[in-house]
Amino acid sequence: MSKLDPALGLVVGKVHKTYNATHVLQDVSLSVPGGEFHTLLGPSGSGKTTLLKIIAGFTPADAGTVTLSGSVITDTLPEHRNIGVVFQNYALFPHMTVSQNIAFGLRMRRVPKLERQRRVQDVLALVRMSGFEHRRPAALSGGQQQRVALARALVIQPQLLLLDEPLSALDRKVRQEVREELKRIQAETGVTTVMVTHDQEEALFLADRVLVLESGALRQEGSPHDIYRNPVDEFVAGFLGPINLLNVESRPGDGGMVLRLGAQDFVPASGLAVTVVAAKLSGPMHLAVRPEQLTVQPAQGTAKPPDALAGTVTGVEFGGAVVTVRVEVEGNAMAILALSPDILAIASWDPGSPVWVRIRQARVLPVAERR
Amino acid sequence: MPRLRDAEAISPGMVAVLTVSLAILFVPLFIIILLSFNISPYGTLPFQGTLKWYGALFRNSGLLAPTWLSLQLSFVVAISASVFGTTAAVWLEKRATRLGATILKVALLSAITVPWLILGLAMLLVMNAIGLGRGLFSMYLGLLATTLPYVVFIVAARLRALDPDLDHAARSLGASAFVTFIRVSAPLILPAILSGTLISFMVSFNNFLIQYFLAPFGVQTLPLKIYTLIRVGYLPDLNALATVIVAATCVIILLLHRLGLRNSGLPGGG
Repeated sequence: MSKLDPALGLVVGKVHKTYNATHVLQDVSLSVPGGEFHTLLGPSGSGKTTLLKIIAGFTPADAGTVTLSGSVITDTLPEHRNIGVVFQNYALFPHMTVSQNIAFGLRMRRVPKLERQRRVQDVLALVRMSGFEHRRPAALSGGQQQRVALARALVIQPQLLLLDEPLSALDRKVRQEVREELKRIQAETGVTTVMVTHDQEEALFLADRVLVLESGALRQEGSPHDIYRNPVDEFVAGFLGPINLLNVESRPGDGGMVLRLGAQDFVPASGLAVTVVAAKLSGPMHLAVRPEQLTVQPAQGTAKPPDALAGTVTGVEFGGAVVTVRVEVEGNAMAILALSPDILAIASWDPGSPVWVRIRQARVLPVAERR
Repeated sequence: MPRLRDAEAISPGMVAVLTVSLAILFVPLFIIILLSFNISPYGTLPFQGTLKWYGALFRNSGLLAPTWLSLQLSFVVAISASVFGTTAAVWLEKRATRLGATILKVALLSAITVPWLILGLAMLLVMNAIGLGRGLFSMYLGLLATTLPYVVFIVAARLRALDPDLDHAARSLGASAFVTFIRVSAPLILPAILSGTLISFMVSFNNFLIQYFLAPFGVQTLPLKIYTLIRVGYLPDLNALATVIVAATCVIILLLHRLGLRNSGLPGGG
């Protein structure tokens, strides 16, 4: 075996997997440089968990290769891969104490007792669970169990850390807490990490890079910011958060460009205009607009300003720090996100009130992708 | 107006039904226990306490040899059932194809559901056909067949309830498939194995029909001996033995309870 170089990270090459004539994974390739935190994001059935199992060695791929730290491990047994795995339901050994759980991987590696004890203590301190050595998993809360599971995976100093929906079994408040811990610990240990999740917020918060999977194929790969702002298609756009999809038509107007939505013309804001010009499209186009890229104000008078669209409020949803305003413009239902301090005024709007809506920025999606 | 009651409360009608059924179960047992301490050999009153039937039981009753044979036979059967049954359960849950699993389950279920009268007769025919005939080994095989299903189903149910990710976790931490079984799966299914073994012991001990069909002449297990005795009349030393067996059974039931059988969905738990 060639010398291992952790900096080479994980490389998955054209992995293919079929279950009962269904293509669960279709030639998926990805590369995670050493020390980075990547997230596989996709709905259930997208193949993301299958991909994780193939990387961990729990299930064989039909075709393709898995390379870790420069060594091909496609056919290596899971116990020889040195990959730490954290499972959705923790999978702590119920008949062992916390320290026995964590020491399990070290025992398998025949680490001497004293060193074993020291490393268990160190990793418990890392996940802030010192003092819980002799508890059974059943006597721990969900968040504590997940910290122990993380400690158990990290103590073997794995070449790669795999996280399978690690936060989804936790309730909201604990989830945020463990999420932050996870980010800190990953940064502190510098372990190459791949997380599988269906929660876009988690993916955006944690990852250096997000890989969006759908129907066994990689749809898009990029930084969280990039994926959120510049989705390649409607699926990715919709999966990363609420989005308004509008069919507009562009044509040259006096002194610039004019867009038309239904029967209304409007002059795009400068940011949107640049985007539309960069897309080099004229005629019909497909705009994807995040709710926070829309602004809304009560209509004053009958004539709408040239840079706004006239619409009608259909509902206002109060959500604490933010308010979602639902507006109908030319038969398109739009969701608009408004932040404090506008909230107090907006929360009292009645359905049916006339409003003006402006689009600050949008993403132009290829019309062909419309399904 | 009926009075409003807690939805979980037991109704008086239910209490009555429960009382009657428990009485039918336990009153005869109670009478036997009582008679084992009564001086009269014919079960007549007045009750006069004695331990002489217990003395007779251990001195000259002729009941101890059949009891000892039954205990030995049931012990060997129960241990075999636990080994083969656990192996079969692991195969059923981890390796079997759908067809293989169905065949095994049907075969095991038939060993419980087909009346033992039929099963015993069929077994005798088969034993004769393959040249084993009646004998201790035939009895062993017959009893094994009727106890195996209990171990397989109890252990398989426990295995099914285990998170498959426990195996994955152990493997990813460096344990081979074998070490994973020994260190992770086996300790977690051990209570189920013990439960299955104890139930096998009781089923084997009790199984008069299979023993009746397969026992050679001159070999008498306890059920066979009792069957012979009640036809010719018996002394209260049998009551004393019955009392001892009831006491032993109570211990086994307590053990089963401690092993958490109440969570397995099988009768025998509390």
